[in-house]
Amino acid sequence: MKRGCAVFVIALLLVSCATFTSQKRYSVPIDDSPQTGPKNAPITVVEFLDYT
Amino acid sequence: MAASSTVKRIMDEYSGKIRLVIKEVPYGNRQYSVKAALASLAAGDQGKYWEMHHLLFDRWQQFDDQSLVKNARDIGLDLERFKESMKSKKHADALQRNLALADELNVFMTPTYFINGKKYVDELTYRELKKIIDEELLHAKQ
Repeated sequence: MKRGCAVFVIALLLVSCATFTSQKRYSVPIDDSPQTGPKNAPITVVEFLDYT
Repeated sequence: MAASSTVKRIMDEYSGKIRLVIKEVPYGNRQYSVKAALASLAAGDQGKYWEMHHLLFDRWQQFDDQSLVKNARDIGLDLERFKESMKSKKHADALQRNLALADELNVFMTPTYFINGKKYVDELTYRELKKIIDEELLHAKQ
């Protein structure tokens, strides 16, 4: 029973950490990178890509 | 490889509401990876970044010099300017800055997206991306 509770608590902590991580907002400099769409658009998508 | 067709579709559907910014991060300085990225930026110097960007996805893995010059010709670039830019690796510094930024932001695979600063690793399906955009639009209104 105690073991089950411990597993549950650990799982809860992991889920909390994952949620917290996904909520973080990074500051990503745009600089003179190629871009399209209005500069004052409500959404900015920065895509890191490789062509190969 | 980027989820370019998905992003294109979303950009069309949410016209005027999304600003898309590209950061090329060639894998481990692989020869063709770097060349493709340099070609896109060289095309950008002549105002045709997006035309080259789309061709690089449409003609995936055709990144040898001859193929890149063919792309440049097909989108109407000044070929001498394009070749000079490629030869001198004019935009190599920009790629190095992107790689440094990727390292700083812990971007370890592509594509990685930052949508209003929130990080999403790997390809996003149309439904996933649409859901994120709708949530962000709602958040922006609040």
